[in-house]
Amino acid sequence: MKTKTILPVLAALLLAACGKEASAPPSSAAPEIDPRIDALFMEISAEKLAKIPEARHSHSVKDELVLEGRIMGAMDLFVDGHAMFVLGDMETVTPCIDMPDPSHCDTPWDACCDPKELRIQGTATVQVLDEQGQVIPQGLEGVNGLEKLSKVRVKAQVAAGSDGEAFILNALALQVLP
Amino acid sequence: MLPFRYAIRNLFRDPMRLLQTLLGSLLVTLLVMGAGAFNQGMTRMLSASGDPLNVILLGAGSEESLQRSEIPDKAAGIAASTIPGIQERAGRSAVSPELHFMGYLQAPDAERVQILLRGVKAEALMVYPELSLLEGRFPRAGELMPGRMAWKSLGIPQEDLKPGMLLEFEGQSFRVSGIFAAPGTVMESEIWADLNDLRTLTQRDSLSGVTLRMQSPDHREVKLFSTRRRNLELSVVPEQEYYAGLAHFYAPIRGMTWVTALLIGVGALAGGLNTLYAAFASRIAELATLQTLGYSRAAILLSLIQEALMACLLGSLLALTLALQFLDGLTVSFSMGSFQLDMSPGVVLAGLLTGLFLGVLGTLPPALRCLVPPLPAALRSAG
Repeated sequence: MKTKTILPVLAALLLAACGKEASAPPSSAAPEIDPRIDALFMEISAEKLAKIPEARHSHSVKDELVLEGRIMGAMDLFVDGHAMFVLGDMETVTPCIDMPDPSHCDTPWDACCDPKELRIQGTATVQVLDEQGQVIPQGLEGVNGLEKLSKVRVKAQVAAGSDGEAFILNALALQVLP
Repeated sequence: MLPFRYAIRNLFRDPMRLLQTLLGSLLVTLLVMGAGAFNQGMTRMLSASGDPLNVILLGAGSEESLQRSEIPDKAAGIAASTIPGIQERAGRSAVSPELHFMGYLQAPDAERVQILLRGVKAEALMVYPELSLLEGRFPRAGELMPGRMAWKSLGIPQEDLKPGMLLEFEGQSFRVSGIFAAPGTVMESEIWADLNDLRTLTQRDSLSGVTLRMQSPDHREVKLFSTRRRNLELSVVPEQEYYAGLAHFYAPIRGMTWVTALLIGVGALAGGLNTLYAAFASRIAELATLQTLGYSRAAILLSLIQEALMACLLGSLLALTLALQFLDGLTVSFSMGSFQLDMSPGVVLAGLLTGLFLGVLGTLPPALRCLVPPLPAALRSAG
């Protein structure tokens, strides 16, 4: 008698559990892009292109400039949960993937064979700020084609705290180049 | 059921066998407890060494070792003035620039030994609140401040480590200004020195790292800082992660202690089996007679297990007494410093379970071998 009562209850519980599983949203859904970040992606004119090694000395805080480069030159190019990446000058920094034997390195986007001075001179940190001047809390990797080794054109303003040693830029517009 | 006194009487029928079983069990239990206490002590020390509020800035590529790391001297100042959320007291930021150096030191009447020196400034006291001065004061130029466990690494008696004593380092004499405690952490085995002194003596113009004490365990601002200040080539490692990495690095050593205990345990078990096979084989007829008297095979097996368990557990109890007397709190040195063996309740339980395991597992195969043959054949084996 007891068994007869328990079995339908168990079956109902199992079915209910199956139903819940089936209605769960797929876990692989991509997170929505922050509209403030999405709005930055546009075509940027290539006129008056500056180069990172020179621009870091010739431009002061709040100056606007347009740069072109690849996302490369460091082990960690993106910061998880923060709109920030490292841009490397293509004439100054050589990523491992462009070395004669790219298989020597597990991280083809860094420039471990370049001298430290070249890596520092040839890279800039690009960040996307909100209205309060804080970095927007969303990682940029994978957003609208921004990947390691992507070729990118950036219109930016030199950030407060930037100097000849640490070149920090606030992105005003971004364009992923083919 | 056979009466319990039957098992007790049999236990003393062969004193040599009893002694052999007892010593075997004692040795294995002692080893298991030793290995457990070693693992417990080392793991506890490394896990206690990381504070969730502390984050270390190291040189990129040297995340596993502060001794190998090199970062520019200016990193500490820039970090203190740029990173929001660092704890402050009396207008000073909890930012500790440090130099970690494995150097040779010599105490009076002792051998020259290699020991970890940490060059610090007074800000270190803001970053490590668990640190307290037991005697004396913080070191100034020409002075050193050892942790309370450093006597072990220095190779001197504990009572000799006191303020005023002289230690020789790089051909110069340094006076001990004080002794500090930082319970359960690796720091207690280190010797702290004035940062500038250590930099001069080691001819380094860089730092090993900078430790920051944040207001919350959220280290995102520090990560953003290291990405912005790419010229400093910094890596951000939460202190807990750093010591978890060290614990992982030493895992093979801890594993070796278990493997050693296991191998000796298997050897002891094999020896015990051999002894019991011989002992029970000579009693086949006696056990068969018990069956003819009406005792079941299960009852006889239970009695044999009782007999072996008493010997093994007695060995384990002796091992437990020895371990608590001589191993608990014993200071062990390794390359990161020293730690104390920790006879926790878990370790004691593991020791007792070892005795139980040896008693049961060591008895079953020889006992079953004696009880399985048919009764007539077993009775005939008496002749």
